Amino acid sequence: METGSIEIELELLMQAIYLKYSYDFRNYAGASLKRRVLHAQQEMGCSSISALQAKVVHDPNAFTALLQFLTVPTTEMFRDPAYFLALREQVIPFLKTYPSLKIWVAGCSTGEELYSMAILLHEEGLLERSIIYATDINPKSLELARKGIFALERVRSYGANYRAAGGTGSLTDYYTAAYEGALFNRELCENITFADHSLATDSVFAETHLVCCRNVMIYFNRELQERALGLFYESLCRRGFLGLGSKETIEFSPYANRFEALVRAQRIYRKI
Amino acid sequence: MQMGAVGYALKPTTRERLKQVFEKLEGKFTQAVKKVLLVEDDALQRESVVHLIDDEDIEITAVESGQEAIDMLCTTIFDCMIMDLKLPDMQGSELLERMSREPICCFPPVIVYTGRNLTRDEEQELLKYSRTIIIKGARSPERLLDEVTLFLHKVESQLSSERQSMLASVRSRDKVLDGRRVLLVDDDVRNIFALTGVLEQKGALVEVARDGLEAIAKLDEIHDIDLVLMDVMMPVMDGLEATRRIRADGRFNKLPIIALTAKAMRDDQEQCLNAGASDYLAKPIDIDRLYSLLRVWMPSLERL
Repeated sequence: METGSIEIELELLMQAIYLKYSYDFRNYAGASLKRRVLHAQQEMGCSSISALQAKVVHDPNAFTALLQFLTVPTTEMFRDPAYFLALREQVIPFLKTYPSLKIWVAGCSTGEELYSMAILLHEEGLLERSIIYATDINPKSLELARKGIFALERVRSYGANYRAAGGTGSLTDYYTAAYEGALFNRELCENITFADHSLATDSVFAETHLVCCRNVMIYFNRELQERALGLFYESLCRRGFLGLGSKETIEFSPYANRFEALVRAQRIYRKI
Repeated sequence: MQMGAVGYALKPTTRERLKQVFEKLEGKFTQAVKKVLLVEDDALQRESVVHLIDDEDIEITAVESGQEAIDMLCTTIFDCMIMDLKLPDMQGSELLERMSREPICCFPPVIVYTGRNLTRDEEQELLKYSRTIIIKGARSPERLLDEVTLFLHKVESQLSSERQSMLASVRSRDKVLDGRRVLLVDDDVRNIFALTGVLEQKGALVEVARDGLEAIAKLDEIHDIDLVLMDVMMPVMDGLEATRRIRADGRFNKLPIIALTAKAMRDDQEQCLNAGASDYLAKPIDIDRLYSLLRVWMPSLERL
């Protein structure tokens, strides 16, 4: 059966990647992973997944290329403005009671969400006393996030999101436009620590007050989702906050009774 | 330090559950009323806090000045203390410092409740004595109530465990670490508390740096550091870069540096070793493994 062999090839590829590069995609959700791998196979000019595997195992550059397909950064600034508005109105007032803050943006990808968070904290007067950990497994994405340069055309379209998210200024205050690119102010990055960290294999590194991990766990299978939630639970301080993506929830997971919903519609939870 | 004993276990979620705990304690101990000392010079604020936390089994003593607070602490054992930083006769930090050296009955868990923002250094200084700092604002009453509740119901087990740990530390004083100076480089308050606790229990003297740059400064300033525990992921300068720079300095080529890494990847561990770390330990830290590693790496005493 044709489909059966694809599943086998997929599993072998993931095992090979894990053994060779310690990147663990073995517990990623099957359907989307398959789609991404098949897309990569085509783009990288391989006749089968097995051929792709052979290439990747022998050539680290090919693996780097494949990684870009496996961790597709699909993100925008102030995505789901209602989520950011809820953070601003319902979470920030609590965060203001702490003399210093740690915030973990897990799976930060190319940084759109991260810069949105930094702008929000800046406007609420909290950025200076915050340390933000921005983690991802894709070094290219991290590098882009660190640079903070986005396509100008796209950034212009984020203005509406920003305003709907309760922005108090203008998004243009935060970047310099040049050559079709928008460079975000370096001050926003001063307290951001960028780091390579995998929710699949690594452990907790700091006690945090807020963890944001949006649209990352949708690519995980149940087992890996639980592992990630476990890390967030362990990292969060007592009564700390967790923000997830619009299609993600902790309900139905073993952590359901360890968090309470603060703004259920926006997937904002609070550790009990 | 007494304050280091403030743990993270036991978290009541609701008033009902808290009530249950209190009822249990009431049966067990004759004195079920919890004593709270409130140090706040502003009459309005004082009233509002009293109003907020008042309950039938809580007895609140409110004073206006630091001196009054010390006088009270000399005659009464309090279960919890809430203090403002701005007092008419002394700064809050001075009050805490005096509490640590004057003959008070017992150093209670302290909640700092302040109207102004703090610098990192001020915060660090206060964290020596108080795990909990609350900046006043729209949601601060809620958080204050939450923290007070936590402290009050923990008191009993905490006192007994404090005694236990005193006994334990007499028995387990490990000669290997006794009097040795360890530089702990970590930006995480929780790790600093936990590791300082276990190291000091073994008689080690712990110096703390919050990032790589501070670590290098500490090594310059303090000449008898025997070993470094270096977190990898830190702001300003990470552990790898700090380790490289320390190794580049000829004075420290034999200094044991143990990297603390949150990553399971072999790559990461290799990176630590390539940067010059003597060894590495994965987080979350297993205390037994930490002790054995320290035993391995602690240089034998030549100074004696």
